[in-house]
Amino acid sequence: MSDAPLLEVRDLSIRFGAVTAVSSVGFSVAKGEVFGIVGESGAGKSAAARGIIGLLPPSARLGGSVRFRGEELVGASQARLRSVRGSEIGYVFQDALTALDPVRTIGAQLVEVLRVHRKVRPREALAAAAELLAELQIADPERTLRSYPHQLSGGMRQRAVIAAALIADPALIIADEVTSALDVTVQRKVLDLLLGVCAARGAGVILITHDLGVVAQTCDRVAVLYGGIVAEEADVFALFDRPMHPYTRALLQSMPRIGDSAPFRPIPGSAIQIFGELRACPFADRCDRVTPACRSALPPVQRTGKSTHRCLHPLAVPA
Amino acid sequence: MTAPLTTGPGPSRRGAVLEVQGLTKSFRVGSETFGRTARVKAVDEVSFRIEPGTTMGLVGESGSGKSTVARMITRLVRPDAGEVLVDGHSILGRGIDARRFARQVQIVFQDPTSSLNPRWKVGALIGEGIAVHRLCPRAEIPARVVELVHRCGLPADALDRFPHEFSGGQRQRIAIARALAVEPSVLVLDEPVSALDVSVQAQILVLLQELQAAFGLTYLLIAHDLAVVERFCDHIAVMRKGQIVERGAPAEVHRNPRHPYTRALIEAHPVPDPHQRRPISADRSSPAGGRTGVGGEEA
Ligand SMILES: Nc1ncnc2c1ncn2[C@@H]1O[C@H](COP(=O)(O)OP(=O)(O)OP(=O)(O)O)[C@@H](O)[C@H]1O
Ligand SMILES: Nc1ncnc2c1ncn2[C@@H]1O[C@H](COP(=O)(O)OP(=O)(O)OP(=O)(O)O)[C@@H](O)[C@H]1O
Ligand SMILES: [Mg+2]
Ligand SMILES: [Mg+2]
Repeated sequence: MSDAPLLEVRDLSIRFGAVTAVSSVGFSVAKGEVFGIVGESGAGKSAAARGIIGLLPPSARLGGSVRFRGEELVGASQARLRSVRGSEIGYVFQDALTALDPVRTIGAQLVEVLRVHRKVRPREALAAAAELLAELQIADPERTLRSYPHQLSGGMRQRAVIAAALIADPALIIADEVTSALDVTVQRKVLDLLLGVCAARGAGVILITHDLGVVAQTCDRVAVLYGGIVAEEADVFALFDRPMHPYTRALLQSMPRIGDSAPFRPIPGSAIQIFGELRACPFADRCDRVTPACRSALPPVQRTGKSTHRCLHPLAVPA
Repeated sequence: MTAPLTTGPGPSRRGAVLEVQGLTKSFRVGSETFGRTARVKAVDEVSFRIEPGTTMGLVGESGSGKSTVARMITRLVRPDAGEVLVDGHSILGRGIDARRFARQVQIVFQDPTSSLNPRWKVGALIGEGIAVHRLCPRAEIPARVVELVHRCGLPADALDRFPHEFSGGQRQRIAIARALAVEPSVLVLDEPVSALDVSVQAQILVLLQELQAAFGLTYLLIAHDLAVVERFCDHIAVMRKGQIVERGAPAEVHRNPRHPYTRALIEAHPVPDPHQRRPISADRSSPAGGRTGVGGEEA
């Protein structure tokens, strides 16, 4: 039981009407592990994250299994999901900036999160909130608590939302693009805090980001999503040293590096939207290794050691 | 995608000099009702000049006043003091001249979702400015919009769709097309690619470079990714606590940063290589585990 993963996702599929956002995605997150999810815009990262905690719009169809500490969350009651969210799984969503209530102060919003999940007096809750904001490198926590969202800079708002996810001490934290509005010095501190929480209490973190620098610096394992599938999943070192999937390599090459003056290298072509069931490799049209076989069926999951990939013509032959 | 956009009638589209002198702004925060208000000096005597057709990058700490500078330049926030000049003409006043020059400065925000009205179709969003400023006869607006959509790399059928039907990268293209519609000579780009994945980021930056080459646009790019700024800008300025603390050519600033904050910015840049991992910094105000003792019990 103690060896069981904190979170185990199996065969997760999500559809919005005819649009397939996620197709049989599987991965697991251990206690104390930082699990990265990367991938192009539209790859299904946010949809998967929302699916895990049951926060998809009613129009969405969810299939597969999500086990959190052994408990199945797919099909769990709304009441159960509500109590899991916030107290056991803290989440920060990408569009969270707009999700802050514009007519209530940051302090009121943070205190509410804490008081819903734990029995704490308002004054203590406010003190805890101030302490957390200070840890997130907010220079003037008291002022920030008294501010309304529009009175804060983009990066301050982003940290207020992160504080709301951390304040109830959850066992799993899902952070979707949480540092994109922060300068790198603050970003570093915020990530350190997340990692610190993870190390100190054995919490798991799912870090969704498009910043491969952040992934390289923080993640233990990484899943690369493309067109709603896990194109590749590996240990962070293996992924950067020996990418297996051509999409992973293209992604690594498109990343701007400091001190490098080469022109920007976007991946040619644009991301696709999947309709109905996926019957081919979603990357086929943009791939330089494509063969007819890639278009005739979705490549199966290939497992080597602790890594997986879905490519008929992988780049490296695993050792 | 590189088809030239015919300029049509209206003022010629070339870069202008953007000059900012002594811009200063403070805000009052907190609640009046509870009597605990304070003033924050968001921007403190900021001055710079951007030559026509060039790009200045503005980087800096979160909350250092970058967006406030952008908002003052685009007349979304009124400065307490200072001037904003386009080709030597002040754009802050109410006169016709000021408004004419103000139109030449347009802004693209980080978050295209909240800056595009969700109830308008893309065609209407892009055409709005052309109509408001009467830049061409009404009958010609649709053709101009089609041209812009094409120039910004959007599919032709985009015009009849709503913003939420597009990905983040495409929405940013819509915002750029919308800004270009009013024939600006200066574009203020407030973190235009921060929310986008690396590949889409590169696509948008390439588009911006092409547009600059085609129209000689002057850019003020606010960003926090030095790797982007380095490659995209002719000059950079580093802001901290409302002031510009360092400026120069990007390569020079990178090689020889003088201000401690600039040094921190370069050092904190996440190296995309797991073998060069920096240890978790220990200088946090309290250990991560320390804040758990809020006196609550598990619910
Ligand atoms: N509410 C929705 N209704 C319809 N389609 C949706 C909805 N939410 C997401 N989608 C579609 O599902 C797919 C996956 O979207 P998702 O938001 O998960 O991408 P993402 O990987 O998070 O991208 P980004 O990096 O831009 O945030 C996309 O094709 C998107 O258009
Ligand atoms: N409307 C407002 N009312 C009160 N304070 C404000 C307002 N707008 C900005 N501020 C304050 O001014 C300071 C500078 O904010 P600004 O948004 O310019 O920062 P920024 O450099 O753009 O930061 P970021 O990188 O996080 O976007 C912050 O302390 C912020 O709280
Ligand atoms: Mg997303
Ligand atoms: Mg800003």
